[in-house]
Amino acid sequence: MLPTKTKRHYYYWLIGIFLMGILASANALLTFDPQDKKDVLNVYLYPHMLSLYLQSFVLIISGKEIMNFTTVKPYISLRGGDNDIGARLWTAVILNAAALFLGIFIPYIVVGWSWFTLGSWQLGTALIVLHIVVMLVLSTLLLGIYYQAHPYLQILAAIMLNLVFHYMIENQLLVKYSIYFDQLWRDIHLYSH
Amino acid sequence: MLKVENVSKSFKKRLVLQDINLTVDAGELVHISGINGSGKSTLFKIIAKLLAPDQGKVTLGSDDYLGALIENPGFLEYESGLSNLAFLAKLNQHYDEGKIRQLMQRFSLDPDDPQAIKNYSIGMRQKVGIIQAVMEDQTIILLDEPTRGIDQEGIGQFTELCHELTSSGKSIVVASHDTIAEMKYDRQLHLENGVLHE
Ligand SMILES: Nc1ncnc2c1ncn2[C@@H]1O[C@H](COP(=O)(O)OP(=O)(O)OP(=O)(O)O)[C@@H](O)[C@H]1O
Ligand SMILES: [Mg+2]
Repeated sequence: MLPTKTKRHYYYWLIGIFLMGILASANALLTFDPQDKKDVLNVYLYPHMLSLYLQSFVLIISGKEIMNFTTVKPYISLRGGDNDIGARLWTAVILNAAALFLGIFIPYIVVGWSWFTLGSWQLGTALIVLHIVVMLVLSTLLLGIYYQAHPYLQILAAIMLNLVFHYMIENQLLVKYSIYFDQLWRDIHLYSH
Repeated sequence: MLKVENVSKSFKKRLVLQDINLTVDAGELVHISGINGSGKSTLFKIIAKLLAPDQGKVTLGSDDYLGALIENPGFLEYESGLSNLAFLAKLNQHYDEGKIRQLMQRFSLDPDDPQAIKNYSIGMRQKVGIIQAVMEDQTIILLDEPTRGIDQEGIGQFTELCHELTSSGKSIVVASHDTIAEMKYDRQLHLENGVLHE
């Protein structure tokens, strides 16, 4: 239903996001300090690479993809097509986020490191799920660009919320998973010698 | 048939439309004139349900299907003219490629022109905007400043199309601040200080 060029653009970006995830993940694994603890949260959730750079980038791409449709919205509304287009855009941005996480986790599966070595697998899984859910919710919020005004403000808001979650909430929760992620503990035990 | 009853609309404290009543029958060609800011586009947006009125209501006949060109047409800017039109027509399963091609040719647009619509000239975009308002056999057609940026030949093609559509029973309402000499309107209305005069 979407025109071919729009679709093709979309698929290029989807593949691009996936490859970017793979490369960033492979790089994180290859440059991983051998002294450090091999734990999936220690590779992806604790460092800032995924939350700060990759997710911000994906939110910008998703926002731009929605923005493509805002100019033509009156003609879509006139034909009662808002729900239909809204649903398609939602699928598109959710797939963008899914492509990123697939790209991130596939290399970890390939190297075969065990997932949760610093804390309980239950809490570790919950933290990963929460991390992904936050990204999916932020992607969904971006649909406001189609229904309301101020697209750049909404993209900025999504990026800010993403960073607030990572720096202020996720970092606290990681400490509950393992003392290893406590800044004070790290200062004393990891860098004291 | 289009029926606008007691429609009023204000933005903040500014009253733009005041108790507007308008009935357009099948096959009628109606002109609404009015200076910049008199509320022509606002009235069209309310009829097209893109904007809610403060009061009053708009009704269409049960078999009516509304088409509209309102203010600056925006499109999927990276797509060609033809794929934009196809995209819109498909939203309601009203897609008829032959008809769209024929309309484009009629307005001297090349349907196979692959260039993105963002590179179209103002007049070319305007023509695509007019085509989307009529390409699905819409029965009530609102055209807001339809001839803006269109050359003399295009205006001739446009008036011919309007006369053809109204003789086949379609209703057309044109809003503009100027008059198009060749148009044979059935009724001319004037919007002034929020009131619609005969
Ligand atoms: N979304 C809006 N918010 C606030 N004021 C608005 C809005 N839309 C229109 N107006 C005001 O309503 C009045 C009528 O605007 P409208 O666009 O309907 O005029 P118009 O007759 O179409 O003018 P033009 O000939 O320039 O196209 C103007 O004073 C405009 O400033
Ligand atoms: Mg106007």
